Amino acid sequence: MIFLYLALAWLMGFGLLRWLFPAPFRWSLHTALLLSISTGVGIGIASSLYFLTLALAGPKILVLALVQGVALAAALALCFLPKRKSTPLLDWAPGPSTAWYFTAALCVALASAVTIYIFCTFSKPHGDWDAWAIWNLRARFLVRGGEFWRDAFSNQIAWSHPDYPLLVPGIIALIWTLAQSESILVPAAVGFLFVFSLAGVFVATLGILRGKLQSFIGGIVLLCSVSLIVTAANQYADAPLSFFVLATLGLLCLQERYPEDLRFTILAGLTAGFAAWTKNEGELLLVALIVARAWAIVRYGNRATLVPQFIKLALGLAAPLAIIVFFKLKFAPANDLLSHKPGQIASHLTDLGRWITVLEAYVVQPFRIGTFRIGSILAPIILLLGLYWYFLRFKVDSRDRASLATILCTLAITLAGEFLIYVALPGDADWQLSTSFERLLLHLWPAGLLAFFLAVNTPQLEKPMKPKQAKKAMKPAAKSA
Amino acid sequence: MITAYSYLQESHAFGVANFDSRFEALHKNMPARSVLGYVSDNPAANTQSQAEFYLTQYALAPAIVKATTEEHFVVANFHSNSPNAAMLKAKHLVLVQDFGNDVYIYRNSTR
Repeated sequence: MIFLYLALAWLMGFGLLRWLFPAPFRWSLHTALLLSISTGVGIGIASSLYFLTLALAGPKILVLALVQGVALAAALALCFLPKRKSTPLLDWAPGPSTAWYFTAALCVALASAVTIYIFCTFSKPHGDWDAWAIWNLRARFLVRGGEFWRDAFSNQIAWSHPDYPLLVPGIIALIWTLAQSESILVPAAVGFLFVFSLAGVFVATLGILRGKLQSFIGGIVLLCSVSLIVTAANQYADAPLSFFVLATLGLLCLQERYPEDLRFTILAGLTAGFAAWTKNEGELLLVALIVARAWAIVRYGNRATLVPQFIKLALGLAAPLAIIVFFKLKFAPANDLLSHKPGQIASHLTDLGRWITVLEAYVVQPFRIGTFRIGSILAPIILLLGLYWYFLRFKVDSRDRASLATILCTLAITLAGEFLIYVALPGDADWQLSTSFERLLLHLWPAGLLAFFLAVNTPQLEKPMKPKQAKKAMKPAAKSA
Repeated sequence: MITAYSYLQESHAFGVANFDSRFEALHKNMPARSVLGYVSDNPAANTQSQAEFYLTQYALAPAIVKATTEEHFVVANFHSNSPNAAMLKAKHLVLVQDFGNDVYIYRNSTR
């Protein structure tokens, strides 16, 4: 039953997306992209409605079911509405043919990632530390609290960060409430959906922008990022945030390819809003995205599209942002990091040791992302990417300059903002870095990989010729000699 | 696969299911809304101790568990059925009920 509720939430997202980007009901890259993004959009809508229903009508299961049912029916009605304006059908970009072994390698990477996820879930069915100290704990408060559900945001459990937004606890609590069971499968299934939909968004977006071969190679690298898979299986909210960061930046890349159709930007606004509804770090991302997008359009894009694009971005962002503001003003206690006194912050900023500690983590930690550890042999993905670049080099299509600038600038501003937060705010920078920095990098990792594969050349692989073909090819050369 | 295995070797499984079942009897007997103190025989400032405190909160939600004995009722998460009487006396804790599985409710006689 819980899988049915989760499927209905996903269907809610799919209905809305198919209305925005209509396509025939058949398997295509277009449909694959919509199906993947639907996970985040559907879950985002369902959890937002759950919170609003709780806040406005209280914990009444019938009202909850009715609101979700009406939203689902509306989304499905939109899905089947006659289409006013059709978007171009998104398809693979032209490129070199994809040898069978790339398809096989992608399938092996996917199977390995799924196996790792299942293995981790069996080892820790309740997830890891933050799952039961923060995310699932909040869901338990919301479900078990009854009329006292607001205790989930009590200052008396400040250690559990009660100001964190509710996308993940909200969807878990919603399904637990509707199913009348606190099944441990729910958070595990939510993590699974997010991380593998993230892979779907990545492969489909890269396929549309750079072709099948490049997207398959990128997909293999992404699925081999073990720390991302394990973090999702640990039931942390970091994988959902990675999903929304990638979806937002990917949609803005697609916007550059289809400049006439601003629906990509509307959807990017919605996913950016859901990023902020997932974790507080999403709010920093939102600021970074707005600055980066404005700069990228002015510097590399068509300046005339700046205002229309920002209007559409605001349109998509409006609903989730309104819910976040409502939650923060009405329910959430003050953020623990922001409640520091100015004197403390000033003393941290003038402490050179803190700057060095944070800088050291920024230099070392990227080499540990998704590290392959086989005995004592270390082969960090970032070094493999360096090697890949050495052989193939970058070649950025003029159409992709604004997209690439948006991604890189967003990531740079986010990293710079997090750097300052580590230096200025928390008590023990070393402890904060060791417990959270890898996950912060994971938020940006899929989008960073997207930028890399958007910029790097596609390998030109030709099928080995048969001996007869080789002889034929050699003849003209021999004659001319 | 090897990397995933090494991740799991490095991290600890603290046993959420075990805490849920140990605290089940207390959880069923609690009022809809309660605030409890917390006492344990774990060493202070230790990762395992901190994890057990969080797991106690997770098991007893929606009750609020505070890492102090300065509440009227205090939940005890012990690892033996013969708690340290001197420590309990020093903290002014008087036994209210034994819920089995080394889980107890105490009352702070000064509150």
